Amino acid sequence: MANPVAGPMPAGVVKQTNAAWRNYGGNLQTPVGALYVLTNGLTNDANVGLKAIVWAIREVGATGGSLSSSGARWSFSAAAVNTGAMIDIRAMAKKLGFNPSHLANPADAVSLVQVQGGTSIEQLIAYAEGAGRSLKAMGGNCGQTIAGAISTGTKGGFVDQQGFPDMVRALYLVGEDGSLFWLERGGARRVISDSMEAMLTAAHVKVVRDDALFNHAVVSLGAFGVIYAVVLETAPAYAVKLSRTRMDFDDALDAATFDNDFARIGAGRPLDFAAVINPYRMKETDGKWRGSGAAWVTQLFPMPQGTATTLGGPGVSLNDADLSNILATFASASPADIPGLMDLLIPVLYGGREAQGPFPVAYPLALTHAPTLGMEIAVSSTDARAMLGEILKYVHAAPKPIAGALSIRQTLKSEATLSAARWPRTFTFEWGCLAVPGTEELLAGLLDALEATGIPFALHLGQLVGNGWLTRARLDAMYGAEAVEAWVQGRKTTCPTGKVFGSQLTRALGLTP
Amino acid sequence: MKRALLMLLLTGCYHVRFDEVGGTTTTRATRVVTPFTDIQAPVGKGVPCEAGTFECQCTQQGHGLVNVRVSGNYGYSLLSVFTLGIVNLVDLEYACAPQTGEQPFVPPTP
Repeated sequence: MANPVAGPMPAGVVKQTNAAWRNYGGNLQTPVGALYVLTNGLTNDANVGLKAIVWAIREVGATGGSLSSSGARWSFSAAAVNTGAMIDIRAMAKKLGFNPSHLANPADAVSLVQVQGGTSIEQLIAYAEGAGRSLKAMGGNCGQTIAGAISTGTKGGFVDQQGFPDMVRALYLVGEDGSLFWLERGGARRVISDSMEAMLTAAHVKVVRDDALFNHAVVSLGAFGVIYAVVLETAPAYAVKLSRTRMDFDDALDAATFDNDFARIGAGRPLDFAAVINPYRMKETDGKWRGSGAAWVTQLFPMPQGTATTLGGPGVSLNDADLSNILATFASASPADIPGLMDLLIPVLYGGREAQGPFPVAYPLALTHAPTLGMEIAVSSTDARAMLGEILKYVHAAPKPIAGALSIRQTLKSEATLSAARWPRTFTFEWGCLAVPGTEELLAGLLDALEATGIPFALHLGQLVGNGWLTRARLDAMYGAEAVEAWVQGRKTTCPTGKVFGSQLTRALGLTP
Repeated sequence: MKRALLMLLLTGCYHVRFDEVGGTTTTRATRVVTPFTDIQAPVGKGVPCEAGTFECQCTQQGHGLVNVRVSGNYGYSLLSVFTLGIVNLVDLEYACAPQTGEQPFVPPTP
């Protein structure tokens, strides 16, 4: 298919040639031939933003080039990296309001929120709160764009909820030749009404209602097109109480963490439960890994609506960006001190905290300038305890200490093809590391060690994937070769030639040319 | 008195001003870094707003600045001391604010 000529540059486009690009964590830095910074223009009109996306895609496509979408630059993997051209849509963060007549079920006007792809999770929470709603689940942070969070499979960490990709009810995409697509599921989960479908069709927006395709496209790694807008399902507004305390990793916490036996630590069933451990405080005794004061446990509980806001902690209010830089420098110079350093790092950066009130009080925006590294490994609940043991065995035998903490969380299985939440109850082990040289290599070594155990696991594709460790064969092993191939074939709906959208990651995995 | 006045003029004070409303960004900082876009933006009083510089992206596209961070380091401090406070270097980092708000969902015009 020949790409249409882009035409004159419209409003809302700032094109920078030979721009420098780096991700938020600082582990990826590259020159980019053309960086298209796209906005809603001076009038802040979302339709200006849509036309800007279409124009940029057509301009790149017309010259035979390829591009990727860059969101909040949150990913540690090269999912957003394309040295030829990149599109930056962070400025596009408007809410696009539905009229009930737009919807197959007009009552959905209350629960569905449509936002532009560049909307940050923080802003999304604000939009939902403004409409008397809350998000159904959350991850650990809220600086990502919604397009980036779902495209990389950000899973969230609510005990009894699915993650971000499964909150998505519809995607408004711009395909490789500037064609517009509205993707949604069929049946009871259909979103738009016949009349809106007719309006979209008249505007040359192709409406595709296909469950399998939707499940491929929602975690797309940016390869299905540029996400102009996303429709998400929200929950009625609820208040929360957050508590983060230091605990021993003993039999009781082990049971709470891996068996959901929260009564063992004197708690009810939380919405969100995360145990962040210092691996160097953990020791194996009689086949069990335990550690005195090794864990910082975060629990989020539902509270009655109208709960007054109260905030407490952390006791230390250092600038974590500066501090983590200092600690990373120190850890680089003195690796032998890393185990002790973790005892200082975790309480300062992730210390005790008490908060209650409306949903957003639990998720303050934690933008820092700190170079950090992260990797997330997902396993079945039946293998989770064994996986912790294998990770800790590697850590204690590794050639150098890993300057990081390990967070253990859980979520429910996602319908998305390339979501790491692949098991009915999926546990995740997420490394948060200082940017110490050699860390990626150490984590790649961990993946080798875990592969040798035979425990099935999957990687979060927006985080570190082992510095070349993840190959197509390993991706097939994680997600199923048939499922991955179906994803590749499904992509042809929005990208018939497959050439325009691609990143270093999708190419390395053989997902795009 | 003259000496005191001279010292006052040479003190190491500086100020940085981001004027979002007026669409101009002025600063007496002599070094500017923008990690959010990694573009060296030569902003300064009297420096024209050139297309492609980051503050121009913000103001020309109708939105303001966000995440402004001003920082210095030991070297900058030494330089300030050696020049009796005449030269002050600071690092500025900033990004454009997202364009938020609500508008009705309307299919694009064909």
